[in-house]
Amino acid sequence: MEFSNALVQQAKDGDPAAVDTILRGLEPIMRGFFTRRIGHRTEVDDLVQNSLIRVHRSIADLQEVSRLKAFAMKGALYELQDFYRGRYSAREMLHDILEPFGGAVAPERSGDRIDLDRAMESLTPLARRIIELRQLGFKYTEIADDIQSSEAAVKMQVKRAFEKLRGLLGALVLLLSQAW
Amino acid sequence: MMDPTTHISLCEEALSDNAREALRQRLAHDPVLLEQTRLWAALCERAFRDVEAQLPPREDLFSVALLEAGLLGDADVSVQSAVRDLQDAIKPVRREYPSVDALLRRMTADARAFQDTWLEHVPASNSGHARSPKQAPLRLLARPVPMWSAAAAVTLLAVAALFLLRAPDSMRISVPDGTTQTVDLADGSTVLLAGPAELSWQDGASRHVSLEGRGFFDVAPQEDPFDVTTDHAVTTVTGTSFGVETGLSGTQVTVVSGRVHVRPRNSGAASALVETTLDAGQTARVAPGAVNAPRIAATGLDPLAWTGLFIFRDTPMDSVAQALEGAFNVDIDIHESLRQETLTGTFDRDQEVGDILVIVAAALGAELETHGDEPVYRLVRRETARG
Repeated sequence: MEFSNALVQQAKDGDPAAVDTILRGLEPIMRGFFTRRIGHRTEVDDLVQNSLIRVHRSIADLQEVSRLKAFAMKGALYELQDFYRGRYSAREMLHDILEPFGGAVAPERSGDRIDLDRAMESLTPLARRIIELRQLGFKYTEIADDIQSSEAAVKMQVKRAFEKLRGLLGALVLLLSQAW
Repeated sequence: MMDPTTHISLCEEALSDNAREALRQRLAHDPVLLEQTRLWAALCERAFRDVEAQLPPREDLFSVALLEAGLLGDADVSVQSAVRDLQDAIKPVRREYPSVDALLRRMTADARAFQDTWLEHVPASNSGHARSPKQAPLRLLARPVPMWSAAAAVTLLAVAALFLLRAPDSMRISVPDGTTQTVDLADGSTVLLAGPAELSWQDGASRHVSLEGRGFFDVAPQEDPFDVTTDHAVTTVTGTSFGVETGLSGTQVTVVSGRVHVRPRNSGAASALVETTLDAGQTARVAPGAVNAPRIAATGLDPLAWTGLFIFRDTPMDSVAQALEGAFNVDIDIHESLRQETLTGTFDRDQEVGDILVIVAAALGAELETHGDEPVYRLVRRETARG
């Protein structure tokens, strides 16, 4: 596929046929890129589609027609970063589950804030790093690679962090626990 | 891993729909679990917000990622200088928050992957790597001093203007996850790639390759050195065999035969870089940003197990026996007269140890003895066996 400057200029000027030609040319590149980065998964279809929509919506703003690659790369990489941040994070994972109960984030009651501050302080630097990486969309295997440890050890760190957190919930929860 | 008390599946990569519904039902009837779950979610959110507050703007991250991906090769000197300033300004954040460093390294790998994918589909003449004389110069946009580094009064620039990319006349072999591929290079060297992996080199310069992922190199001896470049290190040899494994946590080099030199890549500390020389059986690891390549001790796991092979190159028989014993949990006795022998050969790890030893025996002109059902093998010289 060749993207001549004339073709890109036509697309930039709003020629539907030129836009279509460019999007069709970009589609296999986007697909190859996302497949290479996240594997053969159903998410690839969504990522390709969203990236092409980005290009379609903003191609009129392309400053220099010779830089279509830069333009497409930026769209694809932004889309991928959003994907990374969404996957696996407890925020995403628990959000819809907790929605009927008032959402994932505890209300701004003073007691809750104290609990959260204590919970944060209880985290070891390693546990915190793991949670941060998880929130940034790293897989457990990727985290293990990053901290030069095993996947099992990483998961154990998460479990310990959660156990610490449970221990910090205080007497009220203990009483509730006994009552239930 | 399911927490036995709360039944919150903390360590799955993702909860299934059924698991989500089951958890939702349980939360509706269990206020203790609800409280714990909310606090856990809030903690994760807080951790994310804390890191997010330190993150440079996304376009700035991309600028640095492009620089570190080697995709600014043709950019104006002033642009490269501005991005290097940006890179320097981010360094303290990367040091304090290793997760930010990991994020940037992942972004760098993403940019490289897009570039490689583009080159597979678009003719080199249309890859936008060279600017025509008529093109406008790169735009440098002055921005406010970023909040994440008050001291960094650097000139920032629009990422869209930065894609003046390296020359595209490169050869590239990409191997998907879970598969292996052997590549024959023009100089007679061979590379076994274990996916996911990518090997690239400039056409006509096959003794200077770049590797992402894992590769085992059998290098044809020549006066011209052979070097393997990864994100973190350059490994140089003249004729030998060795494995290179690179990932987010660094680059690891393991030598099977001959001698290699491993030099870290760290443009910010060029004068402080320390080269390490490795002999057969030695392994070194270069961490991201490191200035040296320390040797690391074997931990019991074969550092080349990822090849799916047992690889022996002029390997002493004692070492051969040791490798097979460790992998198959058997005893292998080598007759004294054979211990000075060396073995060159490659075996699939899926093979039975007995089958491997039959071949080894044949190569040495020896015979293989077994002891009933016991996992004990003995290699003896033919005349010894007959005697």
